[in-house]
Amino acid sequence: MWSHLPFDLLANIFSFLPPDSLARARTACRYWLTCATSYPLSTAASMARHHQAWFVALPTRSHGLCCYLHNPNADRWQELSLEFQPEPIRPVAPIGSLILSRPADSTALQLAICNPLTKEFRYLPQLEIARTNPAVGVVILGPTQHSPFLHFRVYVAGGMSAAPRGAATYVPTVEVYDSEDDAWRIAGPMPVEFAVRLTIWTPNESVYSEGVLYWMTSARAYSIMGFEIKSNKWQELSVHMADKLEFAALAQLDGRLALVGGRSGGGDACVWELDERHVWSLKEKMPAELGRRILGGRASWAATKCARGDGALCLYRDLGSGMAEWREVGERGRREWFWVEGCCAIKGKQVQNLPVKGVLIHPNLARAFFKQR
Amino acid sequence: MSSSTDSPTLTTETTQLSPQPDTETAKPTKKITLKSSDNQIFEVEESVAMEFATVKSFFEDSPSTDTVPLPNVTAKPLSQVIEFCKEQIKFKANPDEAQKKKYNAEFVTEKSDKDLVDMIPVANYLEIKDLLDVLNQAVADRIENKSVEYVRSFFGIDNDFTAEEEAALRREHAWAYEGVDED
Repeated sequence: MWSHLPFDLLANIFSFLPPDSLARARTACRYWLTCATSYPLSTAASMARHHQAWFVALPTRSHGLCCYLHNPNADRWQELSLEFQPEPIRPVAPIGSLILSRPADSTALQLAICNPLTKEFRYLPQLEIARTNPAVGVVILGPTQHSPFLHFRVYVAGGMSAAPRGAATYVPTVEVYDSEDDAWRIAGPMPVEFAVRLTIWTPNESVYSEGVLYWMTSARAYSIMGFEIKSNKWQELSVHMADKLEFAALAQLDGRLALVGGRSGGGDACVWELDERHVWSLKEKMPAELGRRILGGRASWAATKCARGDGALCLYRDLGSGMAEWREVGERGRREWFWVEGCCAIKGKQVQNLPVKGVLIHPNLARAFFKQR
Repeated sequence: MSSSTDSPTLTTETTQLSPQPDTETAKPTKKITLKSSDNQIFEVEESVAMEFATVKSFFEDSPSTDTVPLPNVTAKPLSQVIEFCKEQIKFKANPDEAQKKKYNAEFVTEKSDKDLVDMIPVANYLEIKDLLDVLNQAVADRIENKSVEYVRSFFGIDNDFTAEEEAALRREHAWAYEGVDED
C-alpha cells in the first residue's frame, strides 16, 4: 500500500523529513522517487515550520570548491562539493533554501543563486548599471505559488561605476531585482552621501525590518544606514555603544531590528532591540561560558562573525572553533542558547581549520530553480 | 478531565484510554454510528464525529442517515483515531497547550510502527489535520538517521530499483548516507 499512496499524502509526509532523511526516502522505491522529484513538495514556508535552519560554512579563501554543512538533527558536520559551480563564490545572503552569492574574483558585482544540495547554480541577469562594491540587500516577500521557492527582491545601492578614461564615480541610484520578473530595474536615485558611505564601508549584509532595509558600516565606530523602500528615503541610525563594540552585526528578531555585539575589554556579547521610539534596549546577554568558548582564549571579539536566519542567531569565529546558537524552542519568540562543536573531523578524517563565512539556510532537495530562462 | 457540562455522576468513561470501540452507557448526547470497512460498528458522540471533516460533510449532505460507512478505514486504526479525537475535544473545552502537547507525544510514543503507519491514511481520509501533523512528525522522527533498508521495512516497501539505479541515486546525495544508524 505504501508504494501506492496518493502523491499529496506522501508529499505531506516528505515535508516533515529533514533533507538527509528525504534523500534516503526517495531511494526507497520508484514511486517514492517520482513523488519526491515531481510533486511540488511543499512551500518553503511550510518546510521552515517543521525544520531548523542548517549552518553552511563557505571557506572565504579559495580552498577547492567545497563547503561544510552542519546537520542540526544529527549534530554532524558534512563536506559538500561545490564542483558544480563555475568559480569560487562568496555568500551574500540566504534566501530560504538558496544562497545568494557573488563570484569571489570579479570586480563588477555579479550575483548568482545556488542550492548546494541539488548542485544547481545560476547567475542572475546583469545589473542595469555596472557597479563595483555596492551594498546588496534582500527582501523575502513570501512563498511562491506551486513552487518550493520564495519570492524575493534584491536591492543594490551605491557602488563605483567605471567612467570613461578611468575616472570612476559613485553611482547614486538603487536598483532592484524581482525573482518573479527575473529582471533588474532602477528603483530611484539616492543621496550621493549615502552612496559614498555604503560603497566604502558596507559589507554585503543587510537586514529587512518593517519596510526598511538596514546595513551596518563595516568600520568602527559602527553606524547603521536604513533605506525605506516605499518612500525611497534614506536615514542614519546610531549603534548602541558604537565605540565600545569590537564586533557588531544586525539581525531581525520577531520583526524588529536587533543588534548583536561584543563589548571591548573582555565584556559580554549582547543582543539589543530597537523599539518604536528608535531606542535600543538590552534583549539578551550571551551566557559568559559560551562567550569564553567563542573567544577561545583571545582577548577580543574582533574576529567574531554572525549568521542570521529566521529568528535564529549563530556566533562563530572559524570552521573549527564552534558556534553559539540562539534559536527558538517550542513557541515563537522563546529562545535558548546552544553550543555547537566546530568542524574538526569528518568521517574520522581531520579537517583543517579555515576562515569561513556562514549562512543559515532551510535546505531543500527540490530541483529546478524558479523560472529557468 | 470531563467537561463541566457533563452530569456529575462518576463513571469510568472519563479515563477510558483503551482503544475499545465506543459502546459506553447511554448518555443524553447525540451519538453517531460509524461503520468500518471490516464491518465493525463504532458509536461515537456527535462532537467527536464532527472532528472528522469527511463525516461532517457526509452529514451535511444527507442529514437523515444514521450510519456513516467508512469503506477505506479498518477497525483498529479507526478506534485509535477516535481515541485521539476524544482527547482533543477535551482540550478544546479546556485549552492547555502543555497538556495537549504531552498527550500528543504520549499518544504516538506508545503506538507501534505499524499502528502509526496505518493511521496516516485514515487521518488523511477523515481529514483530521492535527492528527495528521502529529503522525507525520512521529514517522519522521522514527526514520530519522535510519538507512534506506530500514525505511523500506518500516513502510513495507519493495525495492524496485536495479542495483545500478540505486547506486546512482546514492551517489547523487552521497552526504546523506554518511553516518546513519545501524539497523
